[in-house]
Amino acid sequence: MNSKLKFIFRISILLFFVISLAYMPAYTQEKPITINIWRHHKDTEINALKDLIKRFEKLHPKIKVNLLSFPFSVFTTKLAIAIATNKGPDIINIHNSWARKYIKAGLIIPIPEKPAYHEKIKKDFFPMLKSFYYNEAYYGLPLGGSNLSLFYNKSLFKKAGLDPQHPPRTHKEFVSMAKKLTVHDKAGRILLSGAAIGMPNGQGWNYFIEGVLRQFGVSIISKDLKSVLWNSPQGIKALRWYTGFIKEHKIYSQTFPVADDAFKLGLSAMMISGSWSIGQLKKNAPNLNYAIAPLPASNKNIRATYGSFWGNALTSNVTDEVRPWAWEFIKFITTYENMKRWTKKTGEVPMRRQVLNDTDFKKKNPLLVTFINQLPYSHSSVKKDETLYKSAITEAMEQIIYNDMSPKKALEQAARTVNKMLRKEK
Amino acid sequence: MKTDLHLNNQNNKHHFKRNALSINTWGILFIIPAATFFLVVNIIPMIYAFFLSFHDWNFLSSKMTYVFLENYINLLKDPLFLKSLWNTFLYTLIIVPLTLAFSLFCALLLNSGIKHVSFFRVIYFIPFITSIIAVGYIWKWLYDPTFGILNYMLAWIGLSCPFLKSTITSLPSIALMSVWKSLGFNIIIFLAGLQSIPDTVYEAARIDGANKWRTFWKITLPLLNPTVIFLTVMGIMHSLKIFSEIFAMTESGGPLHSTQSVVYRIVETSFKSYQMGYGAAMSTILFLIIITVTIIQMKILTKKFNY
Repeated sequence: MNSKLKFIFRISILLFFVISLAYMPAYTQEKPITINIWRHHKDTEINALKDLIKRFEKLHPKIKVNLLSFPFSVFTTKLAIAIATNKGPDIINIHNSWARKYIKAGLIIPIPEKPAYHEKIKKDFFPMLKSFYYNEAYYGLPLGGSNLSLFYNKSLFKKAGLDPQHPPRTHKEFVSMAKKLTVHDKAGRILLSGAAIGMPNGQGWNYFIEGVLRQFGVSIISKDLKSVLWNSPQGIKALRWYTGFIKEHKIYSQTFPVADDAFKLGLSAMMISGSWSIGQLKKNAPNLNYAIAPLPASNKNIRATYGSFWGNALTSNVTDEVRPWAWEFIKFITTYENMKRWTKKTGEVPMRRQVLNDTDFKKKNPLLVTFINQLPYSHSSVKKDETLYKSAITEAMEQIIYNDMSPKKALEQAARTVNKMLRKEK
Repeated sequence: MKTDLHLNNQNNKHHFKRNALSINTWGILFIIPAATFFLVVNIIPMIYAFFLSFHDWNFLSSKMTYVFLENYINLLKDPLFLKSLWNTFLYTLIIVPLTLAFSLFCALLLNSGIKHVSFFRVIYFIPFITSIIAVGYIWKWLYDPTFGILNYMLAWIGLSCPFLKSTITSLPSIALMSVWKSLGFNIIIFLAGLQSIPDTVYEAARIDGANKWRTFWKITLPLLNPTVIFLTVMGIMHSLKIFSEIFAMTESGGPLHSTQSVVYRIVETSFKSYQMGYGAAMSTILFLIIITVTIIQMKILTKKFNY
C-alpha cells in the first residue's frame, strides 16, 4: 500500500470513530404532539398496550403515541435519571410500592382534574389505589392489578382423602389440612409438603405483613407513618403461627424447593400466590389439576390479603401542550371496557369496582373470580424503603428458622430496623 | 550524517509526509477514542463516586446534602456491611488458593504429554465462558438439599448436606462453584507458563539426578512465578468483587446474609434502596482495599529468580 492510500485509510478509520462517537447521544426530534410512554418490558403487557394505543390513535388521528419499553433491571434507574434531567417521557408506569417515593421526589404530578374528580376515583376504584393518593389527589391510575390467593392441588387433596371442593377456610383448617397432606420419609425429611408456607421469600413476606398480621387483628403502621405497630403480642402470635408451618408442624422446610417450584412440580399441595401464577402454571405445568380459593381467614374471621398493581402517571416532564392529551390517553386506557381487554391479554384483574357485579365477566374468567372477590380487602401499606423493610422481615423469619430465636425478639429487632428507616425517610 | 539525511529527504518525497504525522501521533490519535471511553465510563464515575461518598443523596430526589464523613462512620457501625466484608474475605480465602492449586494440578497433567490435550483444554474452558446465570441455575439444582444430585450421591455413603440452604454451608458452596468456573482460565494460563520453561533446564536437572518432586519444587514452580503472581492478583481482585454468583444462586444473599458480599451490599444499597452516598462510601472502601492488597502483593510476590 503506498503511503497516500495508507493516509486515507487511517483518516477514514478515525473519521468513523469520531462520527460514531458524535452520533451516540443523538435524540430524535419530537413532532408537535407526541405522547411518550415508558414501561418495563413484559411481552404480554406491551402487546396489550400496543392494541390500546392503536384504538386511541384511531380516535385521535392527530396524536401520536410513542411507546418505549426497557428491561426491568434498568427501568427504575433510567426513569429517575431521565425525569430528573428533564429528558423523561410524558407517561410512566410504576409499581404501587414506588409511588410514594416518586410523588415525594416530584417526579410525577397529580391527575389534572378538579377535586370532585378525585372523589369519584375514590368511589370507582378499589381501596388499594391509596398508594397513589397524596395531599387529597390521585397521582396515577391502574389498568389491572392482582392479589394473593390460595392455590391448591386438587389431585393431592383427593389422594390425602380430603374433599377437593372444600379448600381450607380458616387458619385452623389450613394447618390441619396441610398436616394431613404432608408426607415424610423415615428420616423425617419432607417428601411432599402440605403447604409451602413459612419462609419470607417469594410472596411470603407480603402474605405475612398484609395478610396474616391483619387477620390476627394487628395494625401495620402508625398514622404519621413514622413507626410500625406490628411488634405487639398479637404480631408475635402471628409470626409464631406463620413460621410454625416449618418450626412446629414440619409441613414445609427451608431446605425444600421454593413455593413456586414445589407447587408446579406437585411437591407441595398448597401455595399462596397472585394471578400471575395462572399464566406461569399454564406454560410450565399444563396438566396440573389445581383450583384457587380465598386466603384462609383467621379465627376472628378477619379477611385481608396483599394486593399490588402498576399505575400510569404523568411525569413532571410533561409540557403544557402535551399534558391534556397525555391525561386523555390515561383516561382512555383505564376505562372499564379497556381494562377488560387488558385482562384478556395479561391476566391482571380490572381495578374498577364495577367488576364485582359483572357476572358475565366472572363467568368468562372463572380462575380470576377469587382474585376479583378479594379486591375490596387487598392491602398494600406504606413501606417507604421496601428493600430494607423486606430485608428486616426476612431476617426476623430466618433468625427464627435457622437460629431458633424467639418470635418476640426477632420481631422487635425487625421493628427497630424498620422504624429507624421510617423516621429517616420522608 | 547531515548530508545523508539531506540526500534521503531529497530522494524520497514521501519521507517528509511521513514525518508530518509521525507514527507516535497516529498512535495517540488511535488511542483517543478508547481512552475517551475509558475516561467517561471508568475514571470520571470513580471520581464522582468518591465525591458522592461525602453526601447524603436519595437517588430519586435532586437534593444532595453534604455530610462529610457521616457515611463512613455509619458504615463502621453497620453490622450488615461488616458481615459482608467478612464474607468477602472468606470468599477470597477459599477461592484463590483452591483455584490455583487445582488449576496447576490440571495444567501439570495436561502438560505431561497425554493425548488429545486440546480436547481437555476445551472441556476445562467451557465453564469459564458459560453465562453465570445459566451456571448458577444448574448448580442450584445440583445443590438442592432434597432433590439435588449431589445429595443423592451423598446419600449412598449415608451423608447429606443442606448446601445453599444453611447459614454455614452456603458460602463455601458458592465459593466451590466459583472455583470450578474459573478453573479453565487458570489452566490455560498455567499451560502457557509451563510451555515457556525451556527443556534444557529440565535436562540439566535430570543429568544432575534430581527426581520429579524436586524438579517441580526447584524448577517448575520458581519459573512459574510470574504466572502465579498474575493469577493470584487476578484471582484476588475477582474474589473481592464477587457478585454474580451470589445473585444467581441465592435469595438476596441469604440465608441470614450468610452469602452477602460487599459488592452485593453496594448494589442493594445504591440501586434498590437508592442511598447513593452510602453506597458510594462502600465502594470507596472496597476500592481502597483492592488497591492496597494489589500493591502489597506486587511488592511481596515479585521476587526475581536467577539461574
